[in-house]
Amino acid sequence: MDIQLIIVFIIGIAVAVKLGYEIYKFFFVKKDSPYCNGCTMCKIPDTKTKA
Amino acid sequence: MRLSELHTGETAYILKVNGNGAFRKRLQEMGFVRGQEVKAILNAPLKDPIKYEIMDYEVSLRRSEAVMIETTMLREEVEQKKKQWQSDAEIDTDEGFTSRTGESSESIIQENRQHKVPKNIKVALVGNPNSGKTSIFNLVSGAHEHVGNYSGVTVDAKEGTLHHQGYTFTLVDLPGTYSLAGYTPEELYVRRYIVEEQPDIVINVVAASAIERSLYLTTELIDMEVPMVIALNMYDELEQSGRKFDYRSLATMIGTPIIPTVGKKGLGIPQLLNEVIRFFASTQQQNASHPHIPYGRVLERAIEIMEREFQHIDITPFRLPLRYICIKLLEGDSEIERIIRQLPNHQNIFARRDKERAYIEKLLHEDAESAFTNARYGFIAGGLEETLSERRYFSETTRKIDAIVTNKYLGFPLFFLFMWIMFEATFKLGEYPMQGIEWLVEIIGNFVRRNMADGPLKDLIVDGIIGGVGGVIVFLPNIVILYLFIAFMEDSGYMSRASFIMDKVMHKMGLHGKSFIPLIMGFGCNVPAIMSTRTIESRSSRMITMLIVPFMSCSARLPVYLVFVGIFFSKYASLVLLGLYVTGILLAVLSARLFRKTLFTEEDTPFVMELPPYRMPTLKSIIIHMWDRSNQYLKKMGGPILLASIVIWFLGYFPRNMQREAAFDLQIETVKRSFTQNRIDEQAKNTMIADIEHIRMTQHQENSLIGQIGKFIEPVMRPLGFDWKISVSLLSGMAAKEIVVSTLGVLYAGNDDNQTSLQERLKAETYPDGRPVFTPLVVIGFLLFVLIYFPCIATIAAIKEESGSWKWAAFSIFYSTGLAWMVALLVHQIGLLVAS
Repeated sequence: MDIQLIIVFIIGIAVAVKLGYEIYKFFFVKKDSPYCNGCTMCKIPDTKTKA
Repeated sequence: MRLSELHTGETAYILKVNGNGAFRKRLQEMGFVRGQEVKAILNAPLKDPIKYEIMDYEVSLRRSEAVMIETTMLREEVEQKKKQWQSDAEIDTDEGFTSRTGESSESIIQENRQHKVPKNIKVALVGNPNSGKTSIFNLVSGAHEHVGNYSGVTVDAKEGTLHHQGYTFTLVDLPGTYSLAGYTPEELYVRRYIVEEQPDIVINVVAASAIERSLYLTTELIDMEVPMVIALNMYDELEQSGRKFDYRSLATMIGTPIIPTVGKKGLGIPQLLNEVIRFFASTQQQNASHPHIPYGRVLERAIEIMEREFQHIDITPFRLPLRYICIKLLEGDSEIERIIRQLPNHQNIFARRDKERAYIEKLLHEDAESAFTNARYGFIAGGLEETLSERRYFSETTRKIDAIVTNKYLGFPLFFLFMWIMFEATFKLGEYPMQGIEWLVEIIGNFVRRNMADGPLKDLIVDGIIGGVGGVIVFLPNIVILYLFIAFMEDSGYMSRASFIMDKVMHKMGLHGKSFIPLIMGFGCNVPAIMSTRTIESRSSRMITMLIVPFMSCSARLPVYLVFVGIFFSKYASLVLLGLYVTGILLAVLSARLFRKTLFTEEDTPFVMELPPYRMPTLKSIIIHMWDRSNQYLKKMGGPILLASIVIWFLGYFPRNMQREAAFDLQIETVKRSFTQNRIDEQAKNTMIADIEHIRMTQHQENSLIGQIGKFIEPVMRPLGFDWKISVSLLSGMAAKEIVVSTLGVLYAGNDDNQTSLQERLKAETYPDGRPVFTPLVVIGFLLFVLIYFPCIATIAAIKEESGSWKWAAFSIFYSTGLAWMVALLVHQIGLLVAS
């Protein structure tokens, strides 16, 4: 198999995992600022990590 | 006479505040209490609301609210009334500070003992909106929380930490409130936070520019017996006004240390922290006593009687002082009533409470709630009488600026002019750095194209990553410039004025004047705009505002507009941009009226809004704001945009049809052979190869996963003039609007030889029959669709959180998307009819 294709598949798997994780976080993980959902445009800090 | 009858420049004294419930309470908390002097400053352009000066600050009231306040212009009349009020109640206003143990404030703070004092201090920052709490918080904790010069910017608690003199401070910046009455979500939040979290020290930030009004909250905190240090903020403004304030004497009177500070410059902050440490160490001792506000003979007697009702009741679980519980019961506080109802003998308590309330009303000729409010202001007035000299004169600069920007005739045109300047600058000034970034992206793309071996990884990097991310990153300068203007308008105080001008207009829309600020914030980002609707007391106005904020064109949509406006409407770019924003506003207005008539028909609450003085934003705050904005945009490039570009590329690259690819390769070989055999010239060869490549790419994309998705939704979008690629880009825009551009960048990838700009590729794109895909009509419909349909998942999640249900979030999705589809359909079909 072409080396480039292998690298592309690895990148694809990594992106799929990351995407799946973000979707899981959105629906199942309760956040301190749940309405942000990864959008950092308003920069609300995570109060727990700052405590 | 009524307050509404007061002409501009006239002064009167308040005799009585009519009305009841939240309205009256709010007015009293804002300083509209009997005996208080009030001056009419300015009428709004449409004669409503009216601006008044009271207790050294400016407030605006609707005409219908001003009518409820009885006044007199005769000082003698109010002096007579005061005597009558005093003799009826036998109120002893000569009492100063008292404590339970009768000790002086100095002896209350005893020497540190030998035993260890804990080294962690939890500090809550409490104060009126616009008092400078967040400035102090930012300075002390190093956070970059946004500071806006209008009420309601901090809508949630924020935490920060710092180390000072061997202590670890955990600082919590609570929302700004005028009181802890519990009428608004912020008041309840702050009160509950203090009770449940039990901070070690509360720093009460008091604005020196509005001491009298600010100290009302202080009196309530004293009632709660929270260990407190007062930061007398904006002290420089007090000094500049020429007034003298003996804060040390006042500190002695109220048994609470007062430290002057200038939050925005950092002056007095180390002293404040040192005082917090000293006070914290003293409160660790068991017998520290608490100061009390003296309420006068009648009210104190009622409090004492209520306290006796709790003699055999354990109130420890309530985590509130007994005196505070009794005061709040007498005031009729619903939160305290709810707590008391849990007790087995609550009927007796309520029966005694009702008797005492009737007694208070009989003696003082006013209800208990007003009596306590008046007593608090009376105590404050008494304290300031002895410590504060000379009345403040309002900054002439503020008056002069207000005379123009809130002028009857100039107010509205000036507002729209400022908006136009903002968009013109965003487009014109941003163009130069934008071209620079575009050039850089092209260089990088061409470098990779020419130096990397052909293959899927090269395609991913060039078409996916550079095509996708590169298409969006070029708009960084425009975003930064837009935010520069928004930040300047917020921090200078102009936004409050704009709310003042727009209140009557908002009212005609079925909204509250306070709705204007979230709507303006929506031009930056819809997510914080929806969160800031918490400051709107009326639930119906809050819900309507929440549902129409998505029509405010956020900065994420700007890259989409700029891509098309720059190439298809280059001569009228800023006008088209302004037209889009105005269309969004118009749709918001119409939707608000529709929602008010159908879904939310409740009465509105009064419009009472503080008008802070104008302040020149510091260069530092503007640069911090710009840096934060750029940082967030770049993080978005490296995060969601990059991910989305790679995903879109994958969906467009697979599945591969090797037979089809081989057939096209054969065609290209045939052409090359023809050239070698001199049957065609070089130009013909290049043209034929380019055509074959174009057909290969088109067929491949149509048969890819993304093509199949696009083809599936195309029938719905075809009447709007959109092909499957446009449809897919709109679909991808649900995650974030910038992804529309990155998707277009991936789908309309350049050819092998040269990386051209996305705009050029879009303009050159044609259907198989040669018709251009993007015509001005299609572009207008597309831009309107992008404007109207819901901005992103984060906005929907924000609506769900603020409204408390997925129902309204789902409604927002369907309503906005349906409306977008209809508007784009109408525009396209009517445009075709007109053209034919």
